[in-house]
Amino acid sequence: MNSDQETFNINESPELTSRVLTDASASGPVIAFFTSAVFWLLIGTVFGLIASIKFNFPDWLGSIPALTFGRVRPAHLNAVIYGWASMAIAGCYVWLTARLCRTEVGWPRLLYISVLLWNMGVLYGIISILGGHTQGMEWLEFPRIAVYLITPAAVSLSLSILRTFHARQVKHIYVSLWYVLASVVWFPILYLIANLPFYSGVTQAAANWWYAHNLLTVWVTPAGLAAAYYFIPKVIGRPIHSYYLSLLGFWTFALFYNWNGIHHLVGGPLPTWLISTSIVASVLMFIPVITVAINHHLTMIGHFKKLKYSPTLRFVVFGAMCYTAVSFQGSIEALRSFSEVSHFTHYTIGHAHLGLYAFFTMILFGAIYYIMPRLVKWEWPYPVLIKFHFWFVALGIALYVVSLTIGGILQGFYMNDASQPFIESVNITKPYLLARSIAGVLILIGHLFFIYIFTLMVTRKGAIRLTPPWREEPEAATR
Amino acid sequence: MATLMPLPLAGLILILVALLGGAMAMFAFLWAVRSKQFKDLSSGAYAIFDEEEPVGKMTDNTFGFPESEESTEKRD
Amino acid sequence: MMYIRASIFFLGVLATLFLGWAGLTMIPGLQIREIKPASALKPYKDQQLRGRAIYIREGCIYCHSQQTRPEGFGADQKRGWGRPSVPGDYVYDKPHLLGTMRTGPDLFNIAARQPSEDWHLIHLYDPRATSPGSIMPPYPWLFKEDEVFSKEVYAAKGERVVPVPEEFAPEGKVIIATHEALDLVAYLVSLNHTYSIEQKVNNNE
Repeated sequence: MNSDQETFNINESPELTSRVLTDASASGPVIAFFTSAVFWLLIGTVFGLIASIKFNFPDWLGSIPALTFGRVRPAHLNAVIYGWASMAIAGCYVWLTARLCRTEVGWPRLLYISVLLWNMGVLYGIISILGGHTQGMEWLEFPRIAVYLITPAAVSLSLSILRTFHARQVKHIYVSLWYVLASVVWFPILYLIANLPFYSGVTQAAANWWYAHNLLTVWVTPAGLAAAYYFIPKVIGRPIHSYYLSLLGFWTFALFYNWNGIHHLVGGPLPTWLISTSIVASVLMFIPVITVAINHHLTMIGHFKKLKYSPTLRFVVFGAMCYTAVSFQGSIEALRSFSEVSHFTHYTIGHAHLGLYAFFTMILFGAIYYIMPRLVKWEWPYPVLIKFHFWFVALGIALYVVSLTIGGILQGFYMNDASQPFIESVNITKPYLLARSIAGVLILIGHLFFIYIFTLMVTRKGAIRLTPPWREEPEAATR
Repeated sequence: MATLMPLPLAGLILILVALLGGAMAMFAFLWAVRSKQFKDLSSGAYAIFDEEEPVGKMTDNTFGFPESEESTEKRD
Repeated sequence: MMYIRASIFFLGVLATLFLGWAGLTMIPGLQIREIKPASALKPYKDQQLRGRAIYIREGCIYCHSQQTRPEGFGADQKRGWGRPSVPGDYVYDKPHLLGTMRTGPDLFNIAARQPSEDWHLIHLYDPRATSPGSIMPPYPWLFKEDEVFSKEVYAAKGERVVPVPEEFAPEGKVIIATHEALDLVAYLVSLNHTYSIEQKVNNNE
């Protein structure tokens, strides 16, 4: 490290000083969260690939109880949601809040407790699922003990973030912070309510899907949007297109998105009014989605050539585009006539991955590429590997979504045609399921590139480049 | 046997809750307008920039800078 | 001023979450709570409950739904999968197993379509022995192998021999169902909700 330069720069500019101190205070906890997240990303990807290949070769690993499809699939989902996504979100929130409040991270020790409990909870939960101990509901498989570990972890995170917010040095609360604050208030409450043992029968099904979809409302989507609202304008150096729309988008998002969950039970044994309510709310999601789309895409207009220079921008813009796509798809999918075909098929799995991977995970990759150099004060080694990472996962997820979308629709048509034996709805999907496994391999390879450079970054090994944040654009090129 | 709870009651609760929520939202909105929360909205969009990282400056150049990449390497 | 602004923000945020929860789970909960089980619906017996626990443990729910859709919504009725399910069919279900995937067929009335215990045992041992083209995983750990004896020997040992077709069975061995396999099959052959219900619940008309 070049300590002379550090001292010199800090004395030069109070704003730079504040930013450096802010980033430094976030460094420990955020690196801990990101490292855990990346570990669970690898675990989750491997489980996902195993589950996918089992569709192609159902007898593969068929005699190992812990690796049967019905256990590996929930292990995949829970590892990527509660391991990768949640801890990547936590790290991103901690850093974003400190930056946007222009102050140091509050109660950092709570964050270390949070990382520890979170990892213990996810580890216990995954081992339990593989051992056959599960609560038996999708997205809520983790047994009670894991819930009792993750809930205090989430509360600790929220308290630290609210503490940082309380000590803010800014008058204006930027829109990303709205999403972060809402999210950290919502998530622990949602997680706890959904795990209460109140429900049974179809009410439990309603509670189950209210929770599962609201986890996207309160946790995954706000994180993706908060990051996109910060990184797109910040990287290209241009304010967002319409700040007014972003606020309208936030409140309509909060109001409508909380009512979407029951569209997962269209055609099911629940009161019609309930399912209709969710369908209406799902269609109303067009409003917040369009406001976000306008803001993200119109801000980029005229700046697309900058994608060439910034990995963060590539990942985030890819994710923001997929947000628009997946949201439109979701609103249409909720309609009864469409759902009649797509419900119960692999189409839904394709949709889920368009949301959780192509939108959310890509944006979080972008965030990590921006945040890490500012924490470890090191540049990313081997930028070419970042390009490999991007292209492997981008092509992988595209193949994934396209194959399951087509395969799922065909499956739905065969399933709804009583003149076809049911097995035909299985046979028709087989080539698409094979394509899905190939997509999974591409994504895994992309992740291995990412994990390799991430590890170099954390351990400060590998090729040295210039040192941020003192690495600046040459004057000549700026103006 | 399977009788539904009279729908009007469930519906009534729903309507009351909706009215209450709507009233709260209306009051919050009126407060926001009166206390001038909507004045100067666009300045909020500039909250993420400062003197060191002003509007017009790219802040991530891991893949290099437009035009002259050479000159960058020399700066450190 | 700052405090009012923050308070209103957080109140609004909490209100949106709780409104959704109340509307989507609490109020339907009130409505559905009043529903009595259909008179023909029996609570699960101990063995069926143990089998249900294995159904949950092995994650059957990820490929099989337990809900039948009404006429005009999918082909459930035309396929003869049983009348549309109603909330009263599920009062003893905890956790619920409605499911969201049909990689395999719906199982809500599987016992009506396939009441044979032997069929289910063979199918669990090797799905392709009964259903060519199936992509369902096998569950060999629910079974054990034994030497070839006469029928009386198995009867004396209390063992249930699974009549697996020769080409799917290991050479010179006989497949014996464990208690877990028998429990699971007991649950599967109890899945029959084709009894008539007196009142139509407002479902998708």
